Amino acid sequence: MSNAASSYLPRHHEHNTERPLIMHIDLNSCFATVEQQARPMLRGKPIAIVNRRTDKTAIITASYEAKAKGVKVGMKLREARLLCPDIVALESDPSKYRYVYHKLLDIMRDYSAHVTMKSIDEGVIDFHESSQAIAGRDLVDIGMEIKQRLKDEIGVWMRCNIGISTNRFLAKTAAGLNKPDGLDVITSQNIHTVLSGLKLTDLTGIAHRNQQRLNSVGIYTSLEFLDADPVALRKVVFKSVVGEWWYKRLRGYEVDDIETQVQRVGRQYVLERFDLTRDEIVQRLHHLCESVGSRMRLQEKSARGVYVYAKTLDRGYWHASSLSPLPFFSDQSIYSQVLQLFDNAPDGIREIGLHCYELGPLDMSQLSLFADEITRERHIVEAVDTLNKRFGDRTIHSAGTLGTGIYVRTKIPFGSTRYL
Amino acid sequence: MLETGRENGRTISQTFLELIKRELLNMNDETILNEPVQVIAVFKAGHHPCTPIKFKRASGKEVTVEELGLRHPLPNGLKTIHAFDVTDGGTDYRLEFDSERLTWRLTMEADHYE
Repeated sequence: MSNAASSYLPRHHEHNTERPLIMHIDLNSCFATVEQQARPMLRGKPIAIVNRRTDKTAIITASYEAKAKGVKVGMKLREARLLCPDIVALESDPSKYRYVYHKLLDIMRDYSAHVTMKSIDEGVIDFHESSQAIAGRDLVDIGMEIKQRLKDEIGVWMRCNIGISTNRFLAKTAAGLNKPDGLDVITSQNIHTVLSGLKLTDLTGIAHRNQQRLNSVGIYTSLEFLDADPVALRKVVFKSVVGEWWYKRLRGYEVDDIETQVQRVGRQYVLERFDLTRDEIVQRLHHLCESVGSRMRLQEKSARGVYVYAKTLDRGYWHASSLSPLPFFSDQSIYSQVLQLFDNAPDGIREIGLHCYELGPLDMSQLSLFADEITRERHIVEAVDTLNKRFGDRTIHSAGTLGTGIYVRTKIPFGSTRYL
Repeated sequence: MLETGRENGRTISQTFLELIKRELLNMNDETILNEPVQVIAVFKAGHHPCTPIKFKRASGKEVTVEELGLRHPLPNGLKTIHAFDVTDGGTDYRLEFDSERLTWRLTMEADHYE
């Protein structure tokens, strides 16, 4: 089905005329809507979801009522309160969002075996291989049915945007046309009308830098982008096959049905106070190591590399990494390497983070001189993981991270659904 | 800030008092509790198989549930705790049902500055 690797290049006025069978579903202001669903007294009020309730914290989701008053995602809570003094700030509650994510996924899977969740609040249904009983139905009807099922099975306040088209890109574009609670279809017949109403930066994937690239060759509107020559896009604008992908994408051909591989597992943490001692920062770093180790083993992966970074109050960025000949997987082995690297970190830190890379399977087929030691370590790690799975996260953890749990709690994993 | 106060139809002093109130309360509209409560709940077929309809607090105060907002499981190892976010029409509450011990607790009360 994928044309990404295909050398076929449609002619300039050729659009994909097949029946639109890709549906993109996007929950509206997801976390804020879920909180309004959970707490009926908040419905119709401006609310902001934050990861920590301090004035300097950034807003991760705002309700439509807050957005109507100018509040934007990423804005500091303090700025939002100047625009909207009534705003109610709530700390994010991942267990609620995970539940809604799984309910949405269950609903979507009732219609097709080919469902991909793009993030915690959006997913794609590919109807190409659905049964005739499903694919034979009007997809707009199915979209309306999904909207109603969200209300029946989760709650009356739940709303979603739905977009239908011939590829993932145009389906997502369609889902963004009429927020909130929209349902739109983009076909070869209306693509020009739709694009005429969109700025270049309204297109997913075209941000400031790509916009500048397009502007540099005289492309200022989405329609001009659609009319652009594929050779110019490939050789002048994007200077790679990406230009060709855009040419196909805008014409409704699929180039985005690519499964991504897990390349690394990591976590980051913005310090709760900027006057912490070095020991206190290392304690939080240790907590992150335990969290990353646990996530990595959950995916049955080991790593060979570890990367640690720190952002400083004067906007500096420090990083260090190490690559081992042997794979590692235990919290202790991650921590000991990170600790060594972190020795050279600067002062005045405001954010820390680390990730493990060069991932491989946890089952090590290659035995080494240290095989006995690794096996013993693995048995201990497995015993700890089993207990934590049975009695809850961090039932057993190192004494060094005692007390860090109230600060370094897991927040919302944006852009990834691997841990949901 | 003062301009914003006028735009929203509030007086400057009202806006100022509201901001001071929030600062003093540290923006905390929620009261975290761990209070055993007696609950009357209805178990039935359908998408919402368990719905609390009334609960009695330790103080003797009875609260009638007007709406169940959301029911979701809380991660706690293999033990399942069900969180029920409910409202009596004036205040939002969270009730937690321990499916292993069959006990109910009131764990949160929020009035959202009404």
